[in-house]
Amino acid sequence: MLRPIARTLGLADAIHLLRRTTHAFSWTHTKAFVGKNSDTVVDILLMNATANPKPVPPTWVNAGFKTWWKLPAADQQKVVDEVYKRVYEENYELKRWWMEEMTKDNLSIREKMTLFWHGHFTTKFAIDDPMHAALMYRQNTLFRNLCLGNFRELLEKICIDGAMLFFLNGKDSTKNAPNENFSRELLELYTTGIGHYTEDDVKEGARVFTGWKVNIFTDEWKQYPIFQPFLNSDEHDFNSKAYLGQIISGDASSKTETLALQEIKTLINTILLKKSVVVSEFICEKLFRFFVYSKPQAEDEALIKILAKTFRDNNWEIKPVVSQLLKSDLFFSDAVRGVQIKTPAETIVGITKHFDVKGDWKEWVMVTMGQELLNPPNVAGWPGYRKWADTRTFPFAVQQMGYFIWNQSNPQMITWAGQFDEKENSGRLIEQILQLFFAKSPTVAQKEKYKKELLGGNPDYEWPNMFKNSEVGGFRLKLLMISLVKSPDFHLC
Amino acid sequence: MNRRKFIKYSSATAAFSAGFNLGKIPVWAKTLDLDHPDDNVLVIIQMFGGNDALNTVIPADNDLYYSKFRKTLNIPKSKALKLSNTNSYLNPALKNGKNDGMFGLFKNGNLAVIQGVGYPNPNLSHFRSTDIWLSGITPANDSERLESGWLGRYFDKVNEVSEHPDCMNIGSSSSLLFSTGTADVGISVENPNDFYERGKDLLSGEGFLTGSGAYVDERNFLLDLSIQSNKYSKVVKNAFDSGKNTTEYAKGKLSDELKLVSRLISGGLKTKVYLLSIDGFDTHAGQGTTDGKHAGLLSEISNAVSYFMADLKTQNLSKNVLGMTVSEFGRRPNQNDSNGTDHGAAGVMFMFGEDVNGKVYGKALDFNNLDKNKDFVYQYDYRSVYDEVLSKWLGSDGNTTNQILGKRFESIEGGILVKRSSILLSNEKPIQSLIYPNPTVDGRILLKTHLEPRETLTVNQVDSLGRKYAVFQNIQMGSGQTEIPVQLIGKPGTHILEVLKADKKETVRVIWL
Repeated sequence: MLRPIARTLGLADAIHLLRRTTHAFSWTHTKAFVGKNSDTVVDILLMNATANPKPVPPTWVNAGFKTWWKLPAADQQKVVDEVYKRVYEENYELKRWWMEEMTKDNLSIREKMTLFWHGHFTTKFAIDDPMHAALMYRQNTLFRNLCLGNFRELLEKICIDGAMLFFLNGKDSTKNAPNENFSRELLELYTTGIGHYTEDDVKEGARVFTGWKVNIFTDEWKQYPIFQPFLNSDEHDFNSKAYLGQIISGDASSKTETLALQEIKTLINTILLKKSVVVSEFICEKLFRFFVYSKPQAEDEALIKILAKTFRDNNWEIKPVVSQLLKSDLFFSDAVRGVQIKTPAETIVGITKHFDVKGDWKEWVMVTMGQELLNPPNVAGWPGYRKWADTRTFPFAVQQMGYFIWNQSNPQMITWAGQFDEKENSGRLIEQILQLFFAKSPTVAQKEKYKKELLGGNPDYEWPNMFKNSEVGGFRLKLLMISLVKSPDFHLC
Repeated sequence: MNRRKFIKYSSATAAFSAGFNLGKIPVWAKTLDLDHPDDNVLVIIQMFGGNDALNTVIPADNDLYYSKFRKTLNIPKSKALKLSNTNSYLNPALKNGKNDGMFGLFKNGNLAVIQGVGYPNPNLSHFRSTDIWLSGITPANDSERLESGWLGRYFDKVNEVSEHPDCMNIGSSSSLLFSTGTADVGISVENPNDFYERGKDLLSGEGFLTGSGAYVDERNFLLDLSIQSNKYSKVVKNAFDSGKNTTEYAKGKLSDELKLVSRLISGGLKTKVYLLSIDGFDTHAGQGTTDGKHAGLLSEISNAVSYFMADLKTQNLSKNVLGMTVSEFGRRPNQNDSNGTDHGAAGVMFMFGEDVNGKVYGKALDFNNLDKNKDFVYQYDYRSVYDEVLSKWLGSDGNTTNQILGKRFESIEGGILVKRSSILLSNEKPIQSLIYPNPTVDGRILLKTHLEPRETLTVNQVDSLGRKYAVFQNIQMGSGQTEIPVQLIGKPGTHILEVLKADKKETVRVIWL
């Protein structure tokens, strides 16, 4: 059931909650939650989503591109090359910037929710058109600001979001022969799911979205603020449209942006009104997969319906749904512990919180593992679940994490172990490390196995001496961690 | 599949050939576990995004194409490549590559162009329609879950644990195509050297859990992945090291990947199906015509496929390989105003290989027969192709095909594959006698040869020193394509088998490792 639970959290409960709602945490963070009431700590995680310091924007977020088409033909290529160089360099910087935010955003659900919306309203920067990183930044900021906000508002804004106008061709869609790309995905992927609309709805919706542009140039369209969407009224279809059985009335005599914006609001309202049940269930199932288990069971359908009702009853506010889910007996039940295959973000941001990994190495590892931030595989986002692990990505992740750890100095490992209690007691140390990194509380056999790895054949009573000699102790800790990342339990959460 | 098939064969032959001394069937033959008694390989290229069939195979004789539907986004007739005496034309980008690319394959009779392929009530979602194509199931409604692939179901049914992976994704993650519903008959490989390096030190020493529940399922899934990676990384690396490429390839991801496939086949990997994918066909905007995005993608395929087939031919492996392309849908007949095309319905499939009856199938796309969404109507069900591939190429019997696809599908225009190349087929045309496996590790082989009715057969073995041993003398084995188990005499090394029939003599070389 999805009953409120409100009880005191033990260590395993606290770790479970942190694993599912944040990307990175230390032993010290877990201790902050132990002994507290579950409702209280969920509220802390939700509150910190707005209370934690806001990220500092990258330097280029207001720096537009130069236009090239007015230059003499011979000079154009140079500017085009510069533009694409910036597209790649700055979007790559933005990926690293976001990974930093994931690492820094402690005891807060903000970055997990931001990633959830990025995966939902997927946009890729790596497309043919020059996707200015400032557009990706603005979209990312939209998701962050509204991560627990109102879904209706999110939908209205995403329809004319600059990065989205680029990605799903909105900026190229005109009244003469509208581009159906965004109109289709709005229904299929963002709101109702397949099977709840007709091809005519897709075509009519496409007419509503015609004519919207976004300015990415410093020396063009100066009447429009840079990186803000605007309407080219000549290209917008102002006639009435029939959408999901509702008339979205137009007015061909008064061709204003306000009117076109009103059409979008009416369209979104039509979806949320006419398809309220399917939309709420579609989104809540996705949240369920994200926070609880990626493979909902038959009996979970009823729970998703409860969440969906909360969503509708709260006028599409997201926070009450997430709150209800995380405060439930289901979320804390044993049946859902350790059942999620970690996302590359969880794996890599998680481990690099603990171990120092320089430059863009960790970002590169995430790409090969199949989760390149700001560049999901396609418009449906990341499929997740078992798609995260195959014979290519799993061995790669294990190898790279081994290298991460191997690259630490031995004294660094001793410093790292400083977060744990009773470090000189090998049994206690192993228990804490396994608690922190394994999906479930370790078994007796696992504790024995990994204690042997730590001690390397030495008796228990030698560990305090080994630990005091940072070269020896640090080296043993490295071997332990390299062994740990091979275990399936390391890759579940 | 193999052990079971072999036993079936052995008893059938024994009963069939009265003239054959039963005692001559070695005992081991009844338990011989050949990985795959035939070497047929299927290569599937998935064109993700929905390929614009209309600009791939062009109805250039139809004025509506130029005057109404594709006013600017068209391939001029002067540039399109006429496909023999039909009124269908190939996009000129498909002439790129070795020996005139895919167009060259067509001219040589090695490319089938199947027009208007689709299924009833087309779904215009990339993801749903991709799942429909990969699962080989056309669902009754949108909520029916599609959880297994047609090849996943097939290999789940027919195969036993093999030393070689049955199926392989090159350069992408696991695919529904290879899913049995609960497990995967395919592995994913990108670079065999990396795979080997990563796989060899992957075992954690942790054991499988018994019991049930999501945690047990997921943990066992991951543990199994590390064990499979460890095991198959060695096999794949071995094949990679013993295989070779004989031509240069064009640049590009698909070319690199087909180059790898060729090398793995050349190195003796017994994987039956390779899946490769090429993304970018979702050309809603800026699609281009004879140049540009779409032409570039077609060119990439034509380059990759033509060098691949040339490479295999040089190595005498091309007759073992059948290729096919799939894409979730074609695009709308009419272009949009962003110089692109939106999601449509019926598409085009290519099949290539020496066993393909290379010609144009189906009629050119018909603008006068559009469905209620104003999309092209399909002429052929995609599962007709699957049925033929299963039955003729992968050795599926009728019952099995029926179970995999839910029913049987009639072959398209009498069939796209010229003949069944499976070793078990009896009505195959006489060809050079063949040996499986070759090399052999234990001297146990199957000799596959064609016999006329009442033709007698004599087989001699000649070792590396020229010594001749009689294996069979003047036996009768019935007629048609026949397999005969042989235990080589002597020691490992290179041996020659002399196959003597009524009026001809063949020699076949076999390597005993």
